[in-house]
Amino acid sequence: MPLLNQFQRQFMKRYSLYIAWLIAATATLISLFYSEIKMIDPCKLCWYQRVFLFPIPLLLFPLIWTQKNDFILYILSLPILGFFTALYQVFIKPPCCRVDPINPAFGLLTFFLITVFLLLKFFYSVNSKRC
Amino acid sequence: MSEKKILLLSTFILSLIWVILVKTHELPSSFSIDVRNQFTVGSQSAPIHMILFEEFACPVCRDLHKEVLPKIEKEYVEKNLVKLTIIPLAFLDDSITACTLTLCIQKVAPLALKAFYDFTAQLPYEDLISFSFRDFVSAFIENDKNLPAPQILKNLREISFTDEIEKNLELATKIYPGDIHVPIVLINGKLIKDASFKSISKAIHEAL
Repeated sequence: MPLLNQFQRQFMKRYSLYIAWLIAATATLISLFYSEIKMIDPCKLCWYQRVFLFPIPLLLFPLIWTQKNDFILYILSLPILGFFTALYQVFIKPPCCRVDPINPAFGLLTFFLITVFLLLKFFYSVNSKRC
Repeated sequence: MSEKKILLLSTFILSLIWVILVKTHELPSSFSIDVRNQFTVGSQSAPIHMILFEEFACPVCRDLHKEVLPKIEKEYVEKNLVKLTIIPLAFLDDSITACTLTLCIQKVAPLALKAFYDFTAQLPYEDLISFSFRDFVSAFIENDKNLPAPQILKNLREISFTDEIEKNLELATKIYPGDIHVPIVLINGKLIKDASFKSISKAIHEAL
């Protein structure tokens, strides 16, 4: 039995890359809001996550524009590495932040969702090519 | 609606949200700090009030205290142009001992406080972070024989200065609601982001 019905598959095939971009862009803005406007410096692990997060919206934008889905695999390493960094931060949280306004679980969720939507787009694109 | 249109529209909306956030959350550049009961040097009638927040274990604060502050005192405080308030902070674990002792000296022997600030700034960093109260007092007493050491040590045993440390931190969070960036220098309430002699001097001249 397929995981998603026909409509959901069509929706995911069409919009999953865009949803991944939207999540990454929103997360980037939230991260910048806390560091540049609220003046809360990111800790070392937050910085690593920013390194993996910030390029995603910039790289996804031209991919959505040109519909070159084969390149998704090249980007996929970023949210996966970000996910593992966030996972490390959630479970072994170092006391490097004096102020911790955001639960590190949000980072984990962000990278997880981006990875899932990128994978969905990739697999549905590959399957549609085979068909 | 095509993906391209949605993408452009979303980019526009996110950019708009960003602009609104920046415009509505601009940090104030001028602050009103309650300096009652804080250590102040210089003439009370001086036209300029400089407030300095220092963290003992912060190397930039130590450099400022050793290199910039003597020039400020010579050029402005001694000429009655500036009165200087120093507020000690201890948000790093390494500086809690020095900060507690500072607050105790401020209470017991306020006249010795400036000398104590200068002494801690000159103290090697390894000593600053490892000294006990007794180590600090016995090292400082070599410079200032009039320091009432037994009274200070008695106060340290009997009184907790945690509330005062927290109160000072609260004052600093008025300026930096998130992470506190030290040293904090305010000239007549105006925040000086680059705490160099040149910038502080320029701000003083502008305020005069």
